[in-house]
Amino acid sequence: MNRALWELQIRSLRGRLMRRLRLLRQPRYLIGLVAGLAWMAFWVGRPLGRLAGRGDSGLQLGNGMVRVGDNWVRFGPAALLEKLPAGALEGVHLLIAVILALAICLWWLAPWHRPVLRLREEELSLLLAAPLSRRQIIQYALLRHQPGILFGSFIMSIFLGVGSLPQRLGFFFMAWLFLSLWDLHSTARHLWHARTLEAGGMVALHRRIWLAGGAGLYLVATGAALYSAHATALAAAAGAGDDMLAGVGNYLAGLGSSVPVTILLAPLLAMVAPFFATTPMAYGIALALPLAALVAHHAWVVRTPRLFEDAALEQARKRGRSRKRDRRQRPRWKLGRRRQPFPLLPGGLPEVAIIWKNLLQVSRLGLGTKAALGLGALLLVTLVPAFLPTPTKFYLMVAIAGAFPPAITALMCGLIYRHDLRVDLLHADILRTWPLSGSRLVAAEVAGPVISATLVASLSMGIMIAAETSHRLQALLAGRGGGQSLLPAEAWAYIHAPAPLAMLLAAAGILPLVVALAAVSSAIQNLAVLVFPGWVRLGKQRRSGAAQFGQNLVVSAALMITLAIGLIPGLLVAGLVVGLHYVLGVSISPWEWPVLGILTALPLGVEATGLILLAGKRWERFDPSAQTLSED
Amino acid sequence: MPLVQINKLVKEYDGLRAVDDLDLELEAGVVLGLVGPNGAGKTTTLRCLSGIIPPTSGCILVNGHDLEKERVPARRALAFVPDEPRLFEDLTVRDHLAVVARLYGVTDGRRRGAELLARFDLSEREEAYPSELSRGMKQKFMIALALLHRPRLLILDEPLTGLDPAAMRHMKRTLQEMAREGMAVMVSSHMLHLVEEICDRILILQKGQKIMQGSLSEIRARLPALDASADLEEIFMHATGGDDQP
Repeated sequence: MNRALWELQIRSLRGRLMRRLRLLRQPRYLIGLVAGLAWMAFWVGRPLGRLAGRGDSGLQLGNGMVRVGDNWVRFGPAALLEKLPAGALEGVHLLIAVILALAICLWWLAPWHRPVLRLREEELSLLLAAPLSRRQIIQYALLRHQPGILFGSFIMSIFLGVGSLPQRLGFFFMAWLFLSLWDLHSTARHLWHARTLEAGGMVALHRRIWLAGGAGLYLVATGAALYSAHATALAAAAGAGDDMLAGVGNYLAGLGSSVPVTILLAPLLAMVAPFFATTPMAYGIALALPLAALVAHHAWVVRTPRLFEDAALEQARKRGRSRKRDRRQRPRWKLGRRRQPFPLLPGGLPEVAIIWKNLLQVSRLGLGTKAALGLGALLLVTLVPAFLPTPTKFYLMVAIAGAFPPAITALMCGLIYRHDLRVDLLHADILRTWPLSGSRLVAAEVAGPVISATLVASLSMGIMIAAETSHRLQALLAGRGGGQSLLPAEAWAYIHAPAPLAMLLAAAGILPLVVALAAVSSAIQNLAVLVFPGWVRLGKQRRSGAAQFGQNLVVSAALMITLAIGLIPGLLVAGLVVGLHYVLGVSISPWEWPVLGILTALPLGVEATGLILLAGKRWERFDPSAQTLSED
Repeated sequence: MPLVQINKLVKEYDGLRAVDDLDLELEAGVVLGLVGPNGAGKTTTLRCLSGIIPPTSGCILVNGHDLEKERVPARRALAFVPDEPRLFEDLTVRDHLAVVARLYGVTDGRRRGAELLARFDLSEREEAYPSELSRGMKQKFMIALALLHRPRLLILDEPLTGLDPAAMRHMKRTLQEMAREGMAVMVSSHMLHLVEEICDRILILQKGQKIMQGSLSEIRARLPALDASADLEEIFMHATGGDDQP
């Protein structure tokens, strides 16, 4: 590659790093970094501790040992692999190859693609006008991905690597090789799609048919071979009797020994083979094919005859202005553009305008329509399975699937929903002139994600209620009576209320907690963006990469601490109430559940209010001109 | 009582004084032109005055309200149009009007919004997203949006950039009309002939400091070296030492 391009790459990296380091002159960034590093040390230090292998406490992280009584017991992935039969590793190897085969086939079949070069507009203006060959520009674009790949490989080797330092270095190199290969393959795939589009007409159609046919055939053949291997492997697993671990080991070994599957997946098995090499010699030999594939992929990409300039420039412009995905979501027709989450009247609380605007950024579908659609879906989930011979397992699966989102959306609200200050700070020049106090503005910004999280949580709880109701309805229709519940009978012995009422009261008890947790989670993110605007990525899109990873770690640590502080008083209050009932020998009535929910949520609510007030104060002193506010 | 009072305004960035001890008063019905070489502190002054950036020291009163201590009433009285129109990408023109109407409690927001769109020749673009508007259209829409809540003070940073000649003429008329209706208008621009044409008073800034202020004739009178017909460009060059630059 041209020396000037290396220079540009290195200087860009150095500039980015210096900009970040300069931020550390502000004490809050320095404190944030120390906190982040401490948090990282906690997580990274443990796997690294395994390498050191020191410590005489009950928990010897270094050797992956824990003392139970007088005995030392090994734990961790290495210990698990040791317990499995030798052939099981081949099964794991095979499963990874299956996942890769599926991912690659689906990736190739996906209709979307992006231009080959994902460079910024200013970079492209400089590079395309410079006396550089097309190949040099592509190499530069590929090199831009390397810092992320290297960081990803480092993280993989820390968390997934096992064994001594040389072994981990080997793992790191292989991880880098694998991720680079994936990056090149992905670029090649985008190239193919672009060339197919360029060809147009029947040629493009023929190419797509061949691709779909080939990929489909390959998947069907692999699926059939896997199904056959699965039957054999199941028989092998049954031979292990009650020993579950041995059963899993036998199953994996059975899968791994299947010749047709191994043949069909041979190229993919070869690509990840070094991860499974047990000796340095085997590792060295296994590296040969992935390295050859890397070289071949590189040649494939850099020798492209495709004209990428126009597409790359257009993409860069679009990225500069707004996100392409967002634009696709926008309705083209007039009626669609008039849709809104709810009618916004000119009079009333001004905060509502901000909530309305933020909800509109997510979807133009009205809240009423959303609720109606949700209720319709719940009705379907209730009625359709009830009239079919649906097994109880299905209902249990649906109920369990509905149980997770309330907790996840509430806790991760700040990470999942970004339609708050993280988007609006890009418009700080407009927002700062609005006639609203800081705390009211931040409260409105926090409200959008909380509403979204609450809607999702309500729908999920509705799914749980629908599963229970449908199960009862099915029993009733089959003449088995309406008392058949998904919950064990012992549970109902303590619940002195009819099932539908008890379920609604349980939902009413959970909902305040969901709202309070979501408010804390979102308020932390909004406070973080005001305290560390130079670190938090702005804009609608969640990004990957080292910076985002670090930011998520710091914010997650803050979230955990805040939640712990907020939850403890609430749980103490709730525990006191439960304890009082226990002492008095009175069971808790379902009517008390909503009260308990509110009591537990109250300290969290107070905490969220505190965070909002703090962020509001920060907003009032916020100086957009002193911060780096961009989507980069 | 003046509509705007700026007392000893200072804004520093990393030790560099962008605005240095600025005093200013602006009456209702006056169009004030802010001119100065690049880096003179024009945009910083306007951004401080509109409440976007907090000053390092000094006090700004808008309509009798301290911009820092009485944030809400002070902000209600003003509107700011930045040099680079940054609208919300997911909101149509109509949505923007609805949000601003609610924020400022403009009860006749819908009617007034339609009037303003018609006035700026944007009625056809009511359902358009910002990405579907040209730069000039965005600029016009930003001004329409700023006027929605009938502010007492209108602050515009380079409002004529990107406008075609017809739009420019329209804009000039609009600003003069606004002033006639009793609004105070503050405009920064490098287009000196336009500033000369539309502004009643002129403030020349250099290195963050006020070097001259007054009507064109008042400023001209203070520079005896220039002849009586000297235009703003000549005055500007003379006052800022632009003539001495290579």
